[in-house]
Order: sequence, then structure tokens, then C-alpha cells
Amino acid sequence: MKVGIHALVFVTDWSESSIASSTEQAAAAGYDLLEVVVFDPSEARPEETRAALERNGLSGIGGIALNPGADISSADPEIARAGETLIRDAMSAMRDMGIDALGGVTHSAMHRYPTAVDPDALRRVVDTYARLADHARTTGVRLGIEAVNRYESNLINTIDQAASIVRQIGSDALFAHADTYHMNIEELSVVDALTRNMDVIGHVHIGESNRGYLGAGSVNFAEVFATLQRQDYSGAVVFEAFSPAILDQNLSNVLACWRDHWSDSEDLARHAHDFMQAQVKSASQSMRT
Amino acid sequence: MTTQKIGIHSLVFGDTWTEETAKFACRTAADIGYDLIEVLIFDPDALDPGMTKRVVKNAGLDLRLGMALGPDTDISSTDPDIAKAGENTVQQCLEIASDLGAPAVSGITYAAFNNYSAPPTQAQRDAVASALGRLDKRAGELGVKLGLEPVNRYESNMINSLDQAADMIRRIGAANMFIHMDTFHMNIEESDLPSVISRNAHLLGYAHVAENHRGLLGTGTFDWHGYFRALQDAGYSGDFTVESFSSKVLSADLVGGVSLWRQGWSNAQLAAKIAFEQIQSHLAACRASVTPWPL
Repeated sequence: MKVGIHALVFVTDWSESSIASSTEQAAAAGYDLLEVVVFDPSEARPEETRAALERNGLSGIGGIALNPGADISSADPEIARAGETLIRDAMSAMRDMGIDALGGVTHSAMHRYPTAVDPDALRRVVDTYARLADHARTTGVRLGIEAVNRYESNLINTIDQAASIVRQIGSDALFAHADTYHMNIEELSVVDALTRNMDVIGHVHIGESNRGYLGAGSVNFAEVFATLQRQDYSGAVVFEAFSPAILDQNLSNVLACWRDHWSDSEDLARHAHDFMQAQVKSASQSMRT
Repeated sequence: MTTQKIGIHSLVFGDTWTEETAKFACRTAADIGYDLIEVLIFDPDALDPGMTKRVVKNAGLDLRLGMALGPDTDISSTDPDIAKAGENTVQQCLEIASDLGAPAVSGITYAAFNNYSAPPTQAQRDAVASALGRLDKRAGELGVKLGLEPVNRYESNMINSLDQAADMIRRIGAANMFIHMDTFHMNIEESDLPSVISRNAHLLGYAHVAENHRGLLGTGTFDWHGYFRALQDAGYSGDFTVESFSSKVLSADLVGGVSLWRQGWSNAQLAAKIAFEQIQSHLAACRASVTPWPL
């Protein structure tokens, strides 16, 4: 199991200096993998990213979030098309970075929807993912569907919902993407949700309930790691945390981060790395006969 | 012996409060064994106080009042008219509480129930503190209490944690204010719950009991035993009111308002009964768990 960290723990954009500093800091804290965030695929700087990952001995995974102007669940065909284009371009950027998977809020716009989905939204989304699965085979970049909490999507809030789309399309170019921060709000049982969907889960975000230091909130990480171990999860676990101390004003507002509950990325990242390593080790010990 | 009451939120039964729906909600709650009902004041001008008082009393229930300010009545707004409208709304709700003999009004009383797009400025925090200071005084005159409910980051940018609510109350030097806890929000925003409860124990006045997903109580991830034990240990003596939502009983507007896209349960009566039994058994177990065995 690869242990990774999300770039937004260190930086708030994807400039050349942010590429350099996030890869260096991730490697220095002991991580194997960095999750690269794509804001605008045309400014994703694939060559610099690939070089920086290689230089620091890191593998990568991509993350993206749709927005109200580019949303594949939208009934407005132009907005839906813009969403599909954004995902396609981001997948191509991943290929150019040497990265083989892209996760995130790919099903709808990451924001608080004012109303429930219209009855055709799910069908539109499934049709779009079917086309994107073809693009995934062409580019060699698998595409993830991240279940996020009710305030970030009105469409996919649970692992069951994400997994159901993957199964409907029946393509291994797609995967469900779990995130413990969101699961803590939406799931009935974290263990059950992971267990019954492990066949299609391809990526896991490890976030605390308040998006701060791991172990300082409500998430029961021992059961999360034990379940991943028990079910032979072979994807990556990526630590994610957000703070207005690091993020620019706009990003911080979009993520509803109002409190500076942490400000030292280096300390937070080291702690998370050691915490996850210890959880992986305990979980594997607990499986021994 | 404690006199803590177990209550239920009127939204468990639906989002209208006419004589007919009020009677159904109160009768159902009383039959299950609930001691009180919380009525949410959507619009103080629209609530029928005479009917509310009569129906609740006839069912043998106590009454609590909840409220949430909106974008047009936002005490934290930089628009003085909107801020003033917010202060007037809270004041009106306090007067209703006094008229109806309800002990308190609580909820999102310090800002709008809203998806904010920027953090509050210091000037906004100061203005909220001044307004709440005046409302605290008014509550005292009326003989009722005013509660601040910390809510999660997606519902307010002002008060997300018990510590922030306590800080506001201390800053004002309020004599008639308390913290209104809600486990749905605490599960997202708080760190170690027993510590948070312990360090704010003297200000805790009311508790919404809601599962992590706001569905059926006991079917989620929240550590109920730990929570009730921490409250027992801290000497919490306030009431407990069940809050649980389902798209089955809410209008489309309210489904959008609380971002509840899934139907957690379909039978309100059963959801209410299960929640009542859960709370009763947790309270009994936790009272026993903090009672030392004979030496």
C-alpha cells in the first residue's frame, strides 16, 4: 500500500515553485506518492511535474473537482460538455505527467447544490462516464469517482453510489474513490461500505473529521486500515487536510475552511505519515495467525 | 435524580406546523414517551402562538423553540438593515418564547444559516457580539434564555465549534446565554469530544441528538456511548432533543436547505420511537457507568 499526501497540504496552486516545493516536502516527510491537483489542465505543467516527481522518487496520482460552469451532471448541454472536456484534458495531462489515475469530484460540481438532482442527472452522468472509460483506455489513465458529503454534491455522497456507477459501466478503467472525511458524514458503517465495495475501490483519501491532524477527530482510523488490510486493498492511501493558513482565499472559501487549526505543513505531514505507517503496521500485525 | 427531558424536533414529522400537523406530531411524540417537542420558527410572524401553546399543552409536552436566521435576517451582515432585521427576528422569537412559556430559543441565532463565500471580518464578529449583548439583556427581561448552536463549516462561517460559542458568550459577559450542542455538527468540527465537553461544561444548556448522517439514530458512526458518558461525567443537566431528517417528510425546499439528498428512513413514527429508546438506554447505561461501585 503506497502512502501519499495531497499537494494542497503544502501549496495552493500549481506554479513551477509549487511543483518544486510540494514534491520536495512530500519526499522529505517520507511519502511515496504525491496527489497532484489539476485546476486548469492547460496550465498543469506536465513536463515539470513529471521531472519533479522523478527527481524526488515519488509516484503520482491526479485529483480534480468539477465546478458549476463545467459539470457533467448539468441539464445544460454546454455546461455538461465543458465538464467532460475538463476531465478529458485533465486525463491527458496525467498521461503526460506519467500518472496513471485521476480521482476526485468528477461526477458533479463541488459546491452546495440548492436543490436535489433532476431525474435524468444520473443517466447523463453514467453515459458520460461510459465515454470517459474509452478515453481512459486510450490514455492509460484510470478515472475515479469520489463520494463526497452532501454539501459538496447532491449526486454521489456514498461509496455505494460511486461503486454502482462503476459496476453499471463494468469497466476497470473506472474506480470508486473513498475519502474518510466524507464517509464520516455520510456512511452508516465505514467498515461495511469499504468491505462491500472493495472490488471497485481504487483510491482512498485519509482525512480527519475536521480536516486537521490525523487522530485528533472522530474518524476511527484503526477500523479503516484494518478493513483495507483485510480486503487486500492494493491502491494508495493519500493524506488530505486543508487550512486557510496554506490555501489562497478563494480555495479556502470554496472548501469552507474558516479556522486556522493548523499552519505548519511540515509538522502536519510528518505526523500524518508516521500515523498512517503505524496504522498500516498495526493492521498487518492484526491479520497474522 | 435528574430531571433531564427527552424531546423531539418537529421536522422529524414534517415541515409544516398547522393545527392538524402539530396535533399529529405532538400526539405521536407523547405516545412514544417524549417529554418535549421542539418547534422550529421559520418565520415568527407566521407561527400561530395560541394554537401552538394549546396543542403542545394538550399533548402533555413541554415546548422548546428553535430558529435559524436567513440571508435576509443575518445579524452578521455588513448591510445595517439586514443586520437589524436579524436582531429584530431573534428578539421577536424571544418574546414568543416568553409568551408561550418556553424556557429558551436556540439555534443559528448569531448569523444566517447560509453557505458563506468568505470568512467573517473582525468588524462582523464585533457587530455580532454587540447585537447578542443587547439580545442577552432582552432575554433577561423576558425571563428566557438564548442559545448559540455551533454548526458545521458548510452552514456558517461564524461559530463552528463549542469553544467558539463559549468564547462569544464569555466575551459578551452574557447572563442569559448558553451553548446548544448538536452531534451532527460536532462529529464534523470538534476534536476530542470529552475534552471539549469538559472544558465548556458550565455553558452547555441544550443538546440536539443526531446521527452522523442525520438518519436513523444508532445506524451511523457516532460514538453515542462515549458522548453520553462524557456529558454525564461533566454534570450536564440540560435536555436532549432528537433531530433526524428524511426527504420522505420534507418539502423540496427544505431538502435543498439542509442538503439532504437521500431518504434515511420512511416512517417518522418508527424513527422517533427508535431514537427515544436509544437515548433512554444510553442515559441509563451512562448514569450507571459513572456511579462508583460500593467499596
